This record gives sequence, structure tokens and C-alpha cells, in this order.
Amino acid sequence: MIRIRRAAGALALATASLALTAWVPAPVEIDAVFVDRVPEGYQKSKEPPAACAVNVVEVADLRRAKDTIGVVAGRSVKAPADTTAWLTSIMGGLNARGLAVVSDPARAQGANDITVRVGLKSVWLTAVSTNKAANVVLHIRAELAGRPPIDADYRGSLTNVNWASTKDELKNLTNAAFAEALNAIAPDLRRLCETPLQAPG
Amino acid sequence: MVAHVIAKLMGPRESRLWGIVSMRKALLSGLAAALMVVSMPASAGTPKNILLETARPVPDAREVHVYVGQEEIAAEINPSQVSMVTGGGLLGALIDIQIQAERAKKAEAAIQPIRTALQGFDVDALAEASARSAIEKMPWFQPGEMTFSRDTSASGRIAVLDAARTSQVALITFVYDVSPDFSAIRVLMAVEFAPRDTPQGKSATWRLTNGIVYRQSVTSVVQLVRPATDINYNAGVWAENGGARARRALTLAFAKVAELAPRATLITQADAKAMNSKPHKAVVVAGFAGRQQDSDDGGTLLFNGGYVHIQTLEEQA
Repeated sequence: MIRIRRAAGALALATASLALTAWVPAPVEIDAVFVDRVPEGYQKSKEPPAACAVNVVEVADLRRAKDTIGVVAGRSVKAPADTTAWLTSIMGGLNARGLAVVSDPARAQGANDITVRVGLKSVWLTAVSTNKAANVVLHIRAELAGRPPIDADYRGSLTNVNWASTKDELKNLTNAAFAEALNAIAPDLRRLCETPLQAPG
Repeated sequence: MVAHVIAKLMGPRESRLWGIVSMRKALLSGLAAALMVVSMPASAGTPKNILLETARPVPDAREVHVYVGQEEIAAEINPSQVSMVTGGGLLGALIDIQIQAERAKKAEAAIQPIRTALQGFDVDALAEASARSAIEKMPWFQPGEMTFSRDTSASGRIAVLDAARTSQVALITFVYDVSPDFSAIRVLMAVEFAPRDTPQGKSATWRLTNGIVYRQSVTSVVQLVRPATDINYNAGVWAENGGARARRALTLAFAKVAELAPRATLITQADAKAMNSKPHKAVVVAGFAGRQQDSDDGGTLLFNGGYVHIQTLEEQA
């Protein structure tokens, strides 16, 4: 019964405050430039760079509703208008994970070039009580001559306390979720690079 | 912290519709609204969750905007009550935030197998089909063009109203999630009729607050037959066989809200009063409080200002 009374109070307060202040949080737009959160392990790693170059030849936004990536505490979070630039920038995060990335569909295919096609299946932010959560799913199709291709979804997610739903908070959360996905993609691309060439037929 | 305060200021109902917060809280607010309804004097006017017969027709049509503010199934947590128990204060609020942060992290980690299993399952299409099905059951609806959006925020809704080509707009919002103990999958459908035009002297948000013509929500809860107390175990049950149970539960729940929403538009003030009165037992089922109504499909139907239907997912051989 106490909870019901609290809820009734909150409802009355909500209606009154909205009606009186007409306060509506302004939407924020995430920048198209990916700011990486490189995991500590990669920074300290003495691992040599992979012998293959990663050529991102195609990026595609596969989402249905591309405009909004979430609403956190009433604030609408907009995706960058240029999702191609955004995804290209995100894939550039593989550089910090020991892979040399180029984004040049016209580049002549080298024997050690991994050709990568990226699809953004999902990116969304939400509030979980007093927290905010970001989830992303990237589909990767990676091919290297003579090796079995990678055709898989990679997920990144992060949850932390929502202090004020500022642009920086929401941007950092989104970037961190993409960084998690990149952390999962990088080792698979390295493995593909290190897979011995399969004998034909 | 500020967000916590804002969420409290906005209230559960508004928070839910403009973002995804606590479905349970929202339903409790619905119950609170219902309790307020029955105690309101006649001069206070018709509550927003009652659609008068005279308010059904519109001079032109109703554009329909379907909202699904999430790309995947959401996780819900039980809010910490430390500050409430200790009588408020900064320390209690900070403890609540810390506890909720831990719960949210656990829930978000546990739900990932369900999300992965549901990849490729088009919940947006289910929502649209549910909205269409509900509208077909309301011959008076006069539906206009239907659009789809993820922007459930007030700013997004205001933009939709500003651009509307009909004098009234139907905003149909879906929220779907897993209960805090992962024993149930829930779908909430909120139906709102908002005027396009803002009268002189009113703010743009008036159309979504005092100016709203109708606001009602219905919920369908589909429970596991034998849920465990471990959220990870329950998540595994929902996720196994490519998320077969989760897919069935979502399909059932979206169909059920499409059935309940038209029924809810027929509720009169007298009906609401009757459904809230003593012959109907006050119960709490699957975390939802309300007064139990008759149900002919083996499930439980509650009324708490809106309808909440609870059923158990039958195991398939």
C-alpha cells in the first residue's frame, strides 16, 4: 500500500511538473567520430601487429529505424546522420588492436588482405532504473584468400550509472559498447590471418 | 543522481512512455491512477484512461504512430528501497544507486543469451501487426497513415504532433521486457490520442499532458511453467532452441495486448468503478497488483486502471 501511495504521489507530481514547467529534454546526437576505449591488455601487449591488412570494403546500416538509437531518462539520442562515416570510424578502432585497417574498396587485393564487410544490425541505448545501458551488434563478413571466411555477429554491451544523461555520458557509453564489439572482432580476424592457407580442392 | 531525481519527477508513467524505465512501476502508477479515478469528484472531468463514446469520432482521421523504443528485449530490475526504508537522505540514495547498478549489470549480462537467440526475430513487425489488429477491432477508429519510430521521447512526440496531417494522432507505444527474476516476458501496449493543435496560451507539451484525449495501457505477461530463482538459469530456458520459448511468449503477448487494447477503450467510468470494487479480489500476480476480473482463457486478468493479463507458457512436446 505504501508503494501504491508513492506511485500515486509520483503520478500527481509528474503531471503537475510537466504541466507547469513544460520541460522537455533536448535530443542529443552522437558524433560520427569513434573515440576508442582500448582495453588495457592491448595497450601493454607486446604482440606484433598482424601480418594481414584489414580492408573494410563495405559498411551498411542494416537497422530499420536509423534516426534514433534510444531514449535515456526522457532524452532522445540520435545517431549520426552519416552512418557510413560513423561505421568506418568505428572499424578504424581495430588499428589499436594490432590490425592495420584501410577502407578502400578500390584497393588491389593483396595476398594478405582480409576483405571485411560490416553491417550494423543494432545499436540502442536504454535506461535500466538509475542506470543506462548500450548494446550493439555488428555483423562481420571477413574473407582471406584460401581460408574459411568469418560470417558472424559480434556483440558489445555496457551498463553504468546514469548521472545526468549528458551528451558526453551517452556518447562515451555508445563508444564503449562498440569498443567491446571490436575487442571480440579483433582476435577472430587475427586468427583468420594466422590460419594456414588451405590447399585447393 | 540527477537522472534519478528527474525520473522521480517525471513519474513512472511518463518515464515509461518516453523511455523505458520500470514497467512494474508504471503499472502501479496505473493502479494509482485508477484509485484516483474512483475517488475523484465528478467535477474533475473524465479521467484520461476512459474514452468517452463522444470522443471516438474525429472530423478527419487519426494518423497512427507506432513506437518501439528498443531494438532488443529489455531487462528490468527491482528498484532498491534503502532510501525509502531509511527515510530518505543522500546516503540512502547513493546506496540505492550502487545496488541498482549491480542489479542492472547482472540483468544485462544475463539477458544477452536471450537477445542473441532472438536475433532475426522481427519484434517490430509483431508490434505493427499487433497495432493493426487492435485497430481493426475498433471500427470507429478512422485510422490514417501508419508510421513506425523508435523515438519515444516527448520531443519526438511533439515533433510528430507538429507535423501531423490529421487533427488527432494515435500514438501506440510498445515496451517488451523480461521480468526482474526472468520468470516472465511482458509486453505493454500504451494507446494515446493526442490533439495536433496547441491552444493559445498552452505549451507544446500540453498536448501530451492535460490536453491528451485518451491514455490507456494494457499488459500481457507470459510466465515460464517452472521458473527457477536463478536469473541465468531462466535466461537459458528462454534462450534454448534458438529462443523458441521467448519467440512463442512474445507472439502470444503481442496478440493478447491487441485483444485487450480495444476492450479497454470500451471501459466507462462506471465499469472502472465496478472493476475496482470489492467483489473483485485485490491480488498481486507476477508482480502486478490489481483487482482480479473474470478470464475465460485460463489466464488471470487484472484491472488496475488498465488491463493486465497473466498466462503461463505451455510446454510443447
